[in-house]
Amino acid sequence: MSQKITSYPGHEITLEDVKEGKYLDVVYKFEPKYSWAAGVAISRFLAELKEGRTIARKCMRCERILVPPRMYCEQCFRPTDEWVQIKDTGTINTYSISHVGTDARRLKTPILVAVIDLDGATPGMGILHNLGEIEPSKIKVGMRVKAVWKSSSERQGAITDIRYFKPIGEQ
Amino acid sequence: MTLFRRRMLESPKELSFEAARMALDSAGLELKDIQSVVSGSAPDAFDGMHMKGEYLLDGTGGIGKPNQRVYVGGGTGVFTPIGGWWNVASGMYDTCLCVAEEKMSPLHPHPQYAFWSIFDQILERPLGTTLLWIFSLEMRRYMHKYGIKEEEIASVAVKNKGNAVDHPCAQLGAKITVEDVMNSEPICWPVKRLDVSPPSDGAAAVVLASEKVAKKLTDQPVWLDGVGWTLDSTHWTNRDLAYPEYVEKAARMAYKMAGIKKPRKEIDIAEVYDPFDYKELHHMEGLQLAGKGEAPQMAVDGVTQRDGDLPVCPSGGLLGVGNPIAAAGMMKICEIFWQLRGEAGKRQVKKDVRTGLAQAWGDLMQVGTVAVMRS
Amino acid sequence: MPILEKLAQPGQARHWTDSIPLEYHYTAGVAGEEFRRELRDNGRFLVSKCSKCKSTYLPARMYCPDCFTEMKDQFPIDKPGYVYSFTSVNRNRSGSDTDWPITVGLMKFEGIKGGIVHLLDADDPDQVSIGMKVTPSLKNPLERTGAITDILAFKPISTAPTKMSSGGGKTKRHDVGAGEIQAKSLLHSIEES
Repeated sequence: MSQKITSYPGHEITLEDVKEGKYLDVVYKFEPKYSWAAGVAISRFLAELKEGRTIARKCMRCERILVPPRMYCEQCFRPTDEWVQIKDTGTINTYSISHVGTDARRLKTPILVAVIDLDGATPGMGILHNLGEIEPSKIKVGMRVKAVWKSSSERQGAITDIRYFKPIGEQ
Repeated sequence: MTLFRRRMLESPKELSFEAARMALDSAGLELKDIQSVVSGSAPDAFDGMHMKGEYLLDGTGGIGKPNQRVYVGGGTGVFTPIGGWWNVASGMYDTCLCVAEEKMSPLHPHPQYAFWSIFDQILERPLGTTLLWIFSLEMRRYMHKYGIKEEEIASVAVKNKGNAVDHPCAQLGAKITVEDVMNSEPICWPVKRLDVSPPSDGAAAVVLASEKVAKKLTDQPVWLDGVGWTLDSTHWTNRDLAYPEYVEKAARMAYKMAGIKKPRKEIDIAEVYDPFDYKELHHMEGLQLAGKGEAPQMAVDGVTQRDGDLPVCPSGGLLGVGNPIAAAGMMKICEIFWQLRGEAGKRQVKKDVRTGLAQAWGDLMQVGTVAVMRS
Repeated sequence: MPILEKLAQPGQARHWTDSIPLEYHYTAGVAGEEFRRELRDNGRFLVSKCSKCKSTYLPARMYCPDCFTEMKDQFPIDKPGYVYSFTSVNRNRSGSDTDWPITVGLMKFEGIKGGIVHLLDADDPDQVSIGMKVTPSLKNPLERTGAITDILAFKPISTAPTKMSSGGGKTKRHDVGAGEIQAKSLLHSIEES
């Protein structure tokens, strides 16, 4: 059966070939624009961020405090029950030093990104955010960090109302 | 399967046709003998073509036939034959052609850009996200939890790229060393350039047949004995990133169906999904082929080499052969097929193999798809 | 069971606006490249014929979708086509009105499967009819790249130049010129967007 296979099909070409005009290059650019509804839970989350606070949602059955907050618990599959104010401090669960931007181009200054388990939420409930005011080589899993907020006039109700998280004291 | 390369001239339909035609030829069948078609292709955004399943239709031989497109990100490659399995095992059809195709090159400046939409639009994208973040964050957590060193992980890249030298379709087969990997530029630390698989264009296909048809076509059929698939939530920051629970669940589903109780002993050969070198180790643990945190030691000890006790990725995997998102998992199915029939040429593993496993993973650290194959 | 809490006022409902800029560079494919070269160099359409079912396809394709075999027999056609169907368009892609109605048609060729969707340039749009014979009006050979926009529009045979390729010279009929400007401006707006 497979002994019948003598060669594998495919014509390879390179970007240089295309740029030199060896092959037709049809270019199509477009930029779809979106206006996403935040939904009930995230609308409240963003409103709280504008006030300089973080908020989570509790499911009474499994007793998890969920952040980012959601109106239904995906494990118990029932609506969540109440809002719980949580802190803007947390622990680094994992981190990375990114040398590339969104479009895979190299960045001059690397972006420091981490998953931060926020205090007040169930352990292991993390959010994605940036780190700042720290030497990349000094970042450690388990480090304690605190949010650095924009001033209240600059805040608009977005995840970027927190500029980044910075280390606080010793672990 | 077609060659896997960074950029191919073929249009997506032509890629599908080439792979599908090859599968039919090697099975000795014509298109009229095929009763249904399952196609797998990942994000429409790569090709910039709407509704890829429908678009690829004539290239997959699906015109006028019952057709399904399955899509679970990177897991699609193994999910496509699982879709085919539904068609045949349910008794509805005797033959099913499964084609997985991906053409990533049209998106400029880099295919990775299409993944921008994987992140939450409100809470994550404004931070300047890149797909690589998820992997590097997961890798860091995995290394932290079990105290694994980057060198141990790098040995996987060395093994797979070396294995790929013997694969005729491979994009990046090369003999490299751990030092080469450690010295490669950090893209998103701890992920370095040689830790990652490349974006590719390519397609692969298989023909599935019911028992009575298979026995007429060949006296060496390979049976799809167990299938499993599971999805986890997109709240990935709320999960334990050091262990892929979704892979375990999918694996257990497949093992139960195949009657496997001790995977480490009963699986002879495994093609584990390796878009990054640490992922092979991560998934081996999820598949119960290694205890938690123990996979790196197995890699360093040579257990997973082609002449080892449990060869893993003898094809060269995604790291060596290439990573056209949906077709990569199908490439693994093809590899196990050829290995179980003794047709893998230079890649054939030393030991006698009867039971093989192919696994794929996808999306936002979510999907596990597993297939157990036996000769 | 519905969620327990809802937003009390519309102002509380927030949204997030963003865009995803995308840029694609497509290859024509193995058969597409041949089609493109024939159009660019000789101003003709390449078709392929299946050796099994004898169907001919336009544009040329690598494989016959019915027989699922490779089609190696390719040749250019040099005859006029006919209007299979047509319509008049008043809105552009973003939903705003076009400057004037544009006629778009699906042009087929006798005995050949497939066809080409393109602009129809007639002096009098009311005279366009199904079955009407048409022929393409092409760009100057030096301007052609092999893209579908090498064809400016399809014209009814009575007003078109006698040969299929526009050779090197412009046509002298004044009424054709007006249509050409219209077609060129539409193509220009498509290419620019």
